[in-house]
Amino acid sequence: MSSSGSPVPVVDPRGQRFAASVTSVVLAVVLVLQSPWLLALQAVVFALAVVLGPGRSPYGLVFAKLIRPRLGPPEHPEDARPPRFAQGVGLVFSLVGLVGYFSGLTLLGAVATGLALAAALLNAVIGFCLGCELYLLLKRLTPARS
Amino acid sequence: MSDAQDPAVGRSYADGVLVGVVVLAVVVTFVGVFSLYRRSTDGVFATGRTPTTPPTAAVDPGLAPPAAAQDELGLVEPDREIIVEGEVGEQLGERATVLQFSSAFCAPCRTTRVLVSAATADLAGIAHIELDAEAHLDLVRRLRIVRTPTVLILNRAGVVVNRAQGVPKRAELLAALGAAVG
Repeated sequence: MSSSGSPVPVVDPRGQRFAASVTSVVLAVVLVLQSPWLLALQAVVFALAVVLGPGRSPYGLVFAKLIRPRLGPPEHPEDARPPRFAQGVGLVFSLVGLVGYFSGLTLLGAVATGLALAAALLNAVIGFCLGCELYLLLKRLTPARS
Repeated sequence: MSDAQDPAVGRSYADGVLVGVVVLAVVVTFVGVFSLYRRSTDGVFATGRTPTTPPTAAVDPGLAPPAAAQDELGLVEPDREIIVEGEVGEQLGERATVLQFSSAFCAPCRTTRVLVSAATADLAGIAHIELDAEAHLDLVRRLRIVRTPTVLILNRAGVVVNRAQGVPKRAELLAALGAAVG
């Protein structure tokens, strides 16, 4: 847990790309198999990343245990707050998807899962952080204060 | 739980699979196209744009110049915005200024800060000012900033003569500064 006085929590950016790749595959399988339970598992992974930090989410731990030892330490560890925020965005999408699938609104479930997939895939492919970009645009929409 | 004997349930599952496959195809296509677009525009300054000549009239800080029309991304219309020192709280460079908009949730912003600082450290009269976009929303709207990091190049009069979204390429940044200094 970081307070304002302690150093900023960091995360290995390569671990984030790995986690985004695994997430993309899982969500693609959810879409094709119509599997709300698999989506629920992914939502749990998102929630753990938000609560514990992305480096300690299940995918982050797999990366740390199995993959990082082969790669060596990261050149530049990154601030953990943006990816954590992004995982929160993924969590929101997957919760909406769960509501859709479990209430029989398959289209809602598929579209929300598709949005989460788009965010994860963009992160995996070009390191693009959808939540981070939407953040400023949403801020801009708030009425101007004189 | 689904009842395998009920043909309606089987059909709705098949429909669901079809919907899922279609959504998957749309998402993958979109991500592919967007990634290519991003790769080609990220960190690129509008090369070949001639710096606008600063108006000779003094600028009233309270009166923002009219925003350049329509182009929300600021990629087509040359900027004619003028930044005055009061708006950014720091001294503009004597010859030119690199004005960087950043936000807390932004990994590339740090990369940009390091790159711009290193590129401008040895250049006399070039200031590097970094602003938190969230704390300067009026400026963000006026300058049509849609992403962080966005890097603006100001000439000595504070006129925005160039901009790049995303982490700028060092050589382009230096070329843009050279053009701004004139």
